[in-house]
Amino acid sequence: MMIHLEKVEKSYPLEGGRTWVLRNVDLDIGEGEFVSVMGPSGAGKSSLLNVLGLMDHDWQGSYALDGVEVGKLNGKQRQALQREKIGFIFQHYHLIDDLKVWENLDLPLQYRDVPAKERAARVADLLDRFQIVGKKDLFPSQLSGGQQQLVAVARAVITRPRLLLADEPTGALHSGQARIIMDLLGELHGEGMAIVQVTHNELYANEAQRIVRLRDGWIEKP
Amino acid sequence: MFDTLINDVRYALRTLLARPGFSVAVVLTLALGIGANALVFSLIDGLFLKALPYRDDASLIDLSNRYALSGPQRAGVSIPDYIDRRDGVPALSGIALYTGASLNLSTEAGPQRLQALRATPSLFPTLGVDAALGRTFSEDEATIGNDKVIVLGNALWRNGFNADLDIVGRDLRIDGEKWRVVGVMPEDFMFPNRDFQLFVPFAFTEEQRGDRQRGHEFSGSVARLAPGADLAQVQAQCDAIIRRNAERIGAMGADGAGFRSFIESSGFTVSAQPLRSILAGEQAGTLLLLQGAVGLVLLIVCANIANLLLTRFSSRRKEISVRAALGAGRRRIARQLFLETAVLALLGGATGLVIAMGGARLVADSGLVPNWVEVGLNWRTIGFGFGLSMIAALMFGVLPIFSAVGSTSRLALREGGRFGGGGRAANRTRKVLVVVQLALAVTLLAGSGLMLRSFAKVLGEAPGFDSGGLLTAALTLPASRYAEGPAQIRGFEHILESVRRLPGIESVALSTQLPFDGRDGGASYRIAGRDDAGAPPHGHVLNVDPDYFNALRIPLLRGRAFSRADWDNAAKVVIIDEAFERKQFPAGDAIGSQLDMGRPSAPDLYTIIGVVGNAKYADLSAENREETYYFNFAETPTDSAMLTLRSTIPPAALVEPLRNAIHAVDVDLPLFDVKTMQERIDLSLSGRRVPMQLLGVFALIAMVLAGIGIYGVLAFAVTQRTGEFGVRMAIGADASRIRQHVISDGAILIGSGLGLGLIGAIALGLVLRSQLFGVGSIDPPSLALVVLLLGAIAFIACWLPARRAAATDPIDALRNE
Repeated sequence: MMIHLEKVEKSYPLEGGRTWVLRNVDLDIGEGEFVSVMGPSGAGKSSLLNVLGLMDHDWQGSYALDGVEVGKLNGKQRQALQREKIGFIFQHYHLIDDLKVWENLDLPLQYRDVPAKERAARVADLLDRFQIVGKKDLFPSQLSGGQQQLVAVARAVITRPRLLLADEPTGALHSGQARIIMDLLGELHGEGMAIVQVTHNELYANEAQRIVRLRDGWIEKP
Repeated sequence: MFDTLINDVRYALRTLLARPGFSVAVVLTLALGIGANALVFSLIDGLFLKALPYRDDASLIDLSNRYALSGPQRAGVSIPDYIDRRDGVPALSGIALYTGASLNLSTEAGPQRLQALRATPSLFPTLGVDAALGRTFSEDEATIGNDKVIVLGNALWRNGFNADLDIVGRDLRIDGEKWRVVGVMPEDFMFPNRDFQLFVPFAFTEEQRGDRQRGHEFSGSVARLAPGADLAQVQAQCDAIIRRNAERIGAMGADGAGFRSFIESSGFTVSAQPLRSILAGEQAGTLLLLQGAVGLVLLIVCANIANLLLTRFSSRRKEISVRAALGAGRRRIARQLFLETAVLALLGGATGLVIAMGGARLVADSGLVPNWVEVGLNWRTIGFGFGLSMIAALMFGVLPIFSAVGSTSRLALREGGRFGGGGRAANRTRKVLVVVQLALAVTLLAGSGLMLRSFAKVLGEAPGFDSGGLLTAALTLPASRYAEGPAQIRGFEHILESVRRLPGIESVALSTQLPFDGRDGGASYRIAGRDDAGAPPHGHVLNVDPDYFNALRIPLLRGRAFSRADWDNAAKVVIIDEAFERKQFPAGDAIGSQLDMGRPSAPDLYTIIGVVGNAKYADLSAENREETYYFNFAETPTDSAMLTLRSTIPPAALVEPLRNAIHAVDVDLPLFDVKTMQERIDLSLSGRRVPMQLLGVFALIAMVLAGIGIYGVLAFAVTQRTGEFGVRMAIGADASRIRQHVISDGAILIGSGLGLGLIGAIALGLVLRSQLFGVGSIDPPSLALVVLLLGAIAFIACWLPARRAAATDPIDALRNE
């Protein structure tokens, strides 16, 4: 099992009580499974993704990632686990403006202390595979939105994560560009990567093996 | 047009009031820069620009004797020289002779010593100033027997006589005689500085008018150029007189021939210079240097404010783009932003002027500029302050305004999920400004370090005597009771006896001068028996009593010191110092040789009885010291002397007992210029200390501003890049990586700033070279210290934003993007 959530809850203190963003969430996602998370704004989709991505550790319940009980880890161990297992894709790409395309790809490897030679090889591989070799020396601002998201996906998978978390990966793209990204996600899934995508788009959601629907922090029963 | 301008001003004020923290920061930062500049300018203004309190002061000149070949290059003037020039230089419309005198005024409260200027009656018409009350002297009053008249200085009239309007015609008791007040000078009048409290006529005896008085150059001379005349004409006409005199006197036997030979070999001539340059002293170079230093401070200030404005305008980009979208042209937006900067600049300028006036008074009191210089607000200083504020507004406003206006068209496109919001160009500008600030701060700090090290070296110089535990004072015996030599000797003997009885006294000495007392006495001499061709050598000379070397602990190297018998017999003996011996008696055979202070036809011989160590008299940093020789005080007594007391009790505690001991001898004897020897040495160093302290203050301001600048740039960058740090963390960066990232960004700025600053420091060192003592213009220890100090401050300024960046919560960061 890649993800095992049991009775996970998250809330914020607010005047006159608490605001709940995740309520009693039980969720299992298998290795290599492709899951879409849907729900209206404020339903808790992004919060769930933050918990899954180990960016948020302020929650109650139990979460096992690839068999490791996350709640028992300290900050450093959590970060190490995140580096090893998880890749992120954001709606607004979040590439670093001052770095060229190839430098953006290189950065996650630097943070993992990958030797320079190997980094260069992996960056070259990915540029080739994503067909962006010609863009490698451009800055993000010189690329279209679709091209930027392509780079962002490449950056997310360059560390060969077992789990890819995508927060509305097509939300800022027109349909042609979105199609390319969805095809790419399908391809990565085909290679055995577990993917959790948050999306508002029913069509793209249906490309996953399973849809999890959230409402007011609760997972809706099918 | 006018309406919209008013609206813009109103909006500018409202915008600035809405962000008081930012506005106050800019105004105070600018006030420091403008204040420092206006401070130094007000000193320069008082010294060089403000009109002197004389009619047409540009026509006034100082006329001094000059020994072009043998030195000194500016000497006093003798009475016959003055008479020659008064009567024989048509290029002058007026000339006056003056000299200082100490007078003792008897008052009900006790004797008061007054500093008087003895001047020919022509002084006042030459300067073009009349008395405010009564009159100045008449020519009749400048004759022996009629000269007991006084013109009071305004300050003495106000403070000593309660501004008594009936003072004219009153008799005062001075030096035991009656002197009549004939006038009071106007409030702003001073000559040649504010030390002189009253003016008395300079009456010449027949003997003083004669050729034999040539060389007795104890007076100064001021003159007024005739209409249309210039300095070259004065020089030529004076030189013609000197040539005629040399020929006339040269024909008068052996002495005359000797005089002629001396005139020719010494290159005797006159030095005619504008009066202001003489009154201003030697601080012009120092003030220009300080003006340069504060100019650098202002550049740092401008760089700092430019950064603040870049940040401020960046955060207003939305507002600016809305204005653009509503139809405001770039020019209109630029005008609005410039109005805001101009208002800030004016407020900063006004605050700076207030700071400057407070500081300028402190600096003026420190002795850096002569005491006649009045510092204060006038239209030139105000104009300078506000003019500089406007120039500064352009300097710090142009870049941020261009940056803000230039980005309006791109704003709509820039909305989106990219990082580095302020624009790459603006960021680059900010970084360049920080590098400039750091470089300037290094330059100033290094300059200040050089001055400090140099000052420390001067302080470490041995003066050649033991300055600890010495109290010194001046006194003048009134001529009415101590007219001749024997009476003066007796008077001083009584005083010395009375002082020796004070508790704790180890020794008491009498001398015509003391180290660092501000007086300068020199005379030419000849070694008897040597047929020296050319101009005779010149040395520093003073008369001392037998206890002088003992009291000052100047070591006796060879021979003997003055004895009691020398004093009693007024022996014609002389003691020379080591520099004298090295120059004139390198074989060490000085003892027994004789100095000839007379003329060829009438030798005046003094036997050398001893050699003492070198003592410094005027400048602790003087390296190539002039030779000094000491005569027996009792052999040529004078009415004025300096007392030196060495005691086992602290010198300051001796002042009152000393005053009482003097009054016990003569109640009319005032003691003045009472200081410990250490105070005299400290005073002699104000010309070095005050510029060093000022430079230090300016460098500290520069350092703090540079630190704030780095912090500001990095803190802003961190705020701007919060989202980026969130992403970096999301893709695997830990806190230490983020910290390193920010610090390495800062390190590049710091490294560039320090590197450029070192180049500036070396250049400044070369400029300062002439003011340094004991250190080279490139001083590795002080450069290393400056780099370490500024590097440490800059690192702290980096560390704080880096720590904040490392604490970024990726979820918050990404949510806010």
